[in-house]
Amino acid sequence: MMEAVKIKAAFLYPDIFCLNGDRGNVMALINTAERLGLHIEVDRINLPDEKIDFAAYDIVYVPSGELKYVILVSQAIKEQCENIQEAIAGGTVFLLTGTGIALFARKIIRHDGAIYRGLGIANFDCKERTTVYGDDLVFSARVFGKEMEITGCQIAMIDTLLDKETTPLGKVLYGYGNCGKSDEGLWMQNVILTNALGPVLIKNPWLTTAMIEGVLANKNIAIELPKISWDIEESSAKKIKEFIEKKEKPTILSNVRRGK
Amino acid sequence: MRFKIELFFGKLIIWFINRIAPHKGTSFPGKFINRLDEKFLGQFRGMDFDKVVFITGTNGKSTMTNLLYHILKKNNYDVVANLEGANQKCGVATTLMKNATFSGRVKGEYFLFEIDERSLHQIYRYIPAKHMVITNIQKDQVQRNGDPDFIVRHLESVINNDMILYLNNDEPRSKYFEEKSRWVHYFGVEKNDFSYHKTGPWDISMPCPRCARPIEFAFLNIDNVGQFSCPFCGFASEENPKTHISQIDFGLGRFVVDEQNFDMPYHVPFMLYNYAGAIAVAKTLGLSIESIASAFSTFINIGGRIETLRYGEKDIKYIRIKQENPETLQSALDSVAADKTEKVFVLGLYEIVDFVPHYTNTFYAYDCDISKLIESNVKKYICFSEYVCYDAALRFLHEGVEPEKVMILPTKDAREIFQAALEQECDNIYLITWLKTFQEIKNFVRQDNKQAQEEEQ
Repeated sequence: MMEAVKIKAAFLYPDIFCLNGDRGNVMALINTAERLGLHIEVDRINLPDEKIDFAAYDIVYVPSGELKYVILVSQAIKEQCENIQEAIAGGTVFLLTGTGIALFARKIIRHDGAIYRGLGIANFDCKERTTVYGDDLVFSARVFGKEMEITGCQIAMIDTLLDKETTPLGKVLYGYGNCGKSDEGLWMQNVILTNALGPVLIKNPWLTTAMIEGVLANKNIAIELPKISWDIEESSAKKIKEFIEKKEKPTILSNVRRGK
Repeated sequence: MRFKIELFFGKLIIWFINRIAPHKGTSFPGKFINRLDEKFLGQFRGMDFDKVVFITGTNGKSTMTNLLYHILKKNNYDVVANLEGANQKCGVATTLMKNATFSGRVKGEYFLFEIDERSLHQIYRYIPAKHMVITNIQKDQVQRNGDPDFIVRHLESVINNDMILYLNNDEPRSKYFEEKSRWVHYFGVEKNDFSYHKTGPWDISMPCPRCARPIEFAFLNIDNVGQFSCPFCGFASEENPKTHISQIDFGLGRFVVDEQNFDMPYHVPFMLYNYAGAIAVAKTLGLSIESIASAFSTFINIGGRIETLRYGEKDIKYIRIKQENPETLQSALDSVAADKTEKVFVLGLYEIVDFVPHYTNTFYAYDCDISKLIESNVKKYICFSEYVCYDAALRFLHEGVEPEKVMILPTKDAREIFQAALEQECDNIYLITWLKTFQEIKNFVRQDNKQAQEEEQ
C-alpha cells in the first residue's frame, strides 16, 4: 500500500440523511482505494452545528436525505457556505447523491409551494414532486476526463432544474434523471451531483476510481494505479441492462394501475 | 337505492369468487364497486365509530390486527376485521360488504382495520375511527412510499385531536404524533436480553423529527426502535408509558404488563411491539388485563415469517422478508446470526416488480448491519436471482467476506437454487427470499419427500 499517499474524506450527517443505503458509498470509497493500493481515512461528521474545515478534505460525501431534513441542515450550515466554495476552488471533490443534491441548490420548492433557500453553490433549483418515481437509471458521463456509463436506481422525490449554462453530469440512457428529460445530475469543477443510488460507488467502481484519480491529480501526485478487474460489477451492469431491455416500460397507464 | 344495488352486486362478486377461489377476492369486489361509486364506503350503517380501530404504520400492522382480533374474539366479542392484509380502500370495502346485510347494516361490536399508510386519508374520510394505532414509520417500499417523511405527511393530514392515539413510545416518528391529539396512549418495551447498542463505525441512527439532530438510543430492541432521546431539543421516550412490556424472558417465553404474566406466542424481539400495541388498545376498549393475557397462549400468527423444511438430513430454515424493507431484512439477518452453528446462508434479493416500472433496487441491504451475520459462522453465502444476484454478492464482499465464500447464481430456477444449497457440506441452511421462490422450493421438497416415502414403502 502506498502509505505516503493520504486521502481524507468527510462523510456528512449520516445519522440525519443516509436514506437509501448510502453508507455503502463510503464502504466503496475505502475498499476501492484499498484495491488501488491507497488508504482513505474517513471522518464522520454527525452534527450540522459543527464547523467543518472543508478544505482539509479531499473528498466530501453528502448522502440522500428526506427533504425536510435537507432544508433544516441547509439552514444550520449556511454560515459555512463560503468554506465549501473555498474547498471546491481548492480541488476538494464533492459527491452529493439522491435528494442530498438539494443542499447545493439555490432554492428548494416544496410540494405545498413553500420556498426555502439552499446553499446556492451551483445554478439550479429543486422542486419537490407530488408523487414518487422510482426506476433504474443508466447514464453516460465524463468524470475527471474519463468516459463511463453509470448504472443505478433513482427514487425521484425532486425535480432538479438546471440553468441553461449549468453542465449536467451526464446524458440519460434509461430512466428519469433530473426531470424526465436527457440531463442527469450536475458537474461543476470537481463537484458531482447525481440522482443515482445503488449505492452508486459500489455499483460503479470506475466512477469511484475516477474520483480518486481526480484527488491524486489535485494533489499533484503522479502514480500509476494498478489495473483492477471489476468482473462482478460489470456482470451486474450487464444484467441490469438485460432487465431494462426486457421490462415493461412505464406508460401513462402505470399510475392508474398502481391505484392513483 | 343505488348503494343497495351496488352492495348486492358486490356481494354477488364475493359469492362468485368464493365459489371458484375461496382464498382470493379480498380486495377485488371493493375495487370494482369503488370505481362505480367513490363514496360507496361511506354509506354503510350500524358502525359505532367509537368502536372502530385503525392500525397503521410501516411494520407490524397485520400481526397487531390479527392479535387484537384474537383477543377480542376470545373474549366473546363480535368483531369485523380485514385479517387478510387487504388494507387499502378496496380491501376495507370488501370486508364491510362481507359483513353487511343487504340493506347495508354492518353487524359487529368492534371494527378493526389494518390500514395502508397512504390510503388512510381516503378511508378516514368515510370511517372516522376513534382509535388510531401508529406502529412505527420506517423506510419501506421506497418506490411507492418515497421516504418516511412522505408517509408522516400523509398521516398528518388525518390525525386529529378527537382521536385516541396509540403511539410507539420507542419509535421517534410514531411518538412525534403526540402533539396531534390530547388522547395519547404510549406503548413500549423494556430492555431485554436481545436489546443492543449500535457502536460500529457504519452504524446509522436517525434524525430527530423535531430538530433534525441525531437521535440517541439508550438501547435498541429492533433497528431504530428503543428508548431514545434527542440531546438537543429534549424529545424523548416517556419514562412510564401506559402499556409497558417488562420482565421479558425469551427462555421461558414470558413477559409482564401491569403485573400480569403473559405467555409469548412467538419468542422474537420484533413481535414485542405488536404485543404491546394490541394490549394497549384492548385495555382502552375495557378488557381486563387478565382476560387479555388469557388470549395470548392460543394466538397463531397468520402468514408468519419463519418456516422450516426438512429434507434428508438437512434443515432449510426460511425467513420471509418484505422487499425494499430494511427492518424486516435486518430482523431476518439477526435471527440467522443468533444461530452460531456452522451454516449456509442463501439470499435471494429480487427485482422489484410491484408495479411498472419494475426496477432493480437492492440498496436497502446497505441499510442493514450484516456484521453479526458474518461473525456467526457462515460457511458459504449463496446469492441468487436472475438479475440482482451480483449486487447481493457485492454487499457481502464490501463487508469483508472472502470472495471464495460467496457463490453467485444468476438464476430464478428454484430447483437449481435448491440443488446448490444441498450440495454444500453443511446441514444447516438458512434461506431469505420472497415467498414465490420459497413456495417453489417447498414444492420440490414435498414431492421428493413423498417420493422417498413411497420408495421406502
